[in-house]
Amino acid sequence: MTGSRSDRERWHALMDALSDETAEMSDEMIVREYGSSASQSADTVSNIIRESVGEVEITPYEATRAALNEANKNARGAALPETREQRRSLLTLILAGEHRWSNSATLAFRELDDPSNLSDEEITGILEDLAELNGEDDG
Amino acid sequence: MYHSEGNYLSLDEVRAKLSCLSKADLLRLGRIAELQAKKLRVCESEDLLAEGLKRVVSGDRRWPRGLGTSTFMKNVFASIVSSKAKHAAFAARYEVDAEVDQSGDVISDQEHVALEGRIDPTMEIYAQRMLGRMATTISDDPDALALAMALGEGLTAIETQTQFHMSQKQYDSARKRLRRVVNRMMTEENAS
Repeated sequence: MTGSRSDRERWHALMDALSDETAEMSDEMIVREYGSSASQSADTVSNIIRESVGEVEITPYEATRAALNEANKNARGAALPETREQRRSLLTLILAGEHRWSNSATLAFRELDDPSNLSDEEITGILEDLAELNGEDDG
Repeated sequence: MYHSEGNYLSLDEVRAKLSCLSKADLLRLGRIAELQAKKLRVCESEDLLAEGLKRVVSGDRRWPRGLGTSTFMKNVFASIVSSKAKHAAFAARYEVDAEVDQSGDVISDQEHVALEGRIDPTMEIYAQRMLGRMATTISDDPDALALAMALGEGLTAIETQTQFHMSQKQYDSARKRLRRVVNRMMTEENAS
């Protein structure tokens, strides 16, 4: 075989190409082609996985829901400044158009121009919504 | 925090996902481990599978959210195989470095080591042997042979079809035959 690559590189590229192809094959095709002849049967792979993973009591859906809830909780908590004075200053800055969240604040809270009448809880709620809107982890 | 952590599966998700793979997923995973293990002269696919799973389940290797099991695990296996190859190359370099002359003195030629020590020569010989076996097996199948060469050189499907004047149907058919030839070769290797 010709080209600038070494035989080792060619062999590895070939194995990678066949691996990628295998990853993309349909379930039906995989079972048809390897279901009976695979030297490493589904049972063998399943046993190795069980040894590595152990007993799992949670479904993928439950695990994903828990992970996303946790990540969301962390994000909302981490997004805001610690003190209420800092949170109030941040909102003032945003409403003055001097923060990267200002554009989304104008869209989402267009009738809000003076944060001085808002309670601390309301300010926190608005900032949490803006953090979520902007998908950021800090203010 | 949300965007860095949230972009990866949690360890519970990883374990849950791996514990309920379908039969097709298991076959696919086993097959990919076999193909990746075959890159090296001495590498058992079951060991590679276990090592890959260990890295993933322990969190050493993070699983990007949205990436399919087969694609992700292929990357994990490939990374392990690459490390093993580098380790073997390093060991080969050490052997060259530690060679002695006829009087028993250690030959210490750093320039020689730097030039020759990057690749384990046994890997090159092994790859040459495997490619040779495959070429012999498909020598009467020009399309499959052309495809094997193209994949080895990293050509895309379009490039291969253009360069070797293949229709899509001929290309797909050649891929299927090449896949079966490699499968047969691997079965024979495992049996010997």
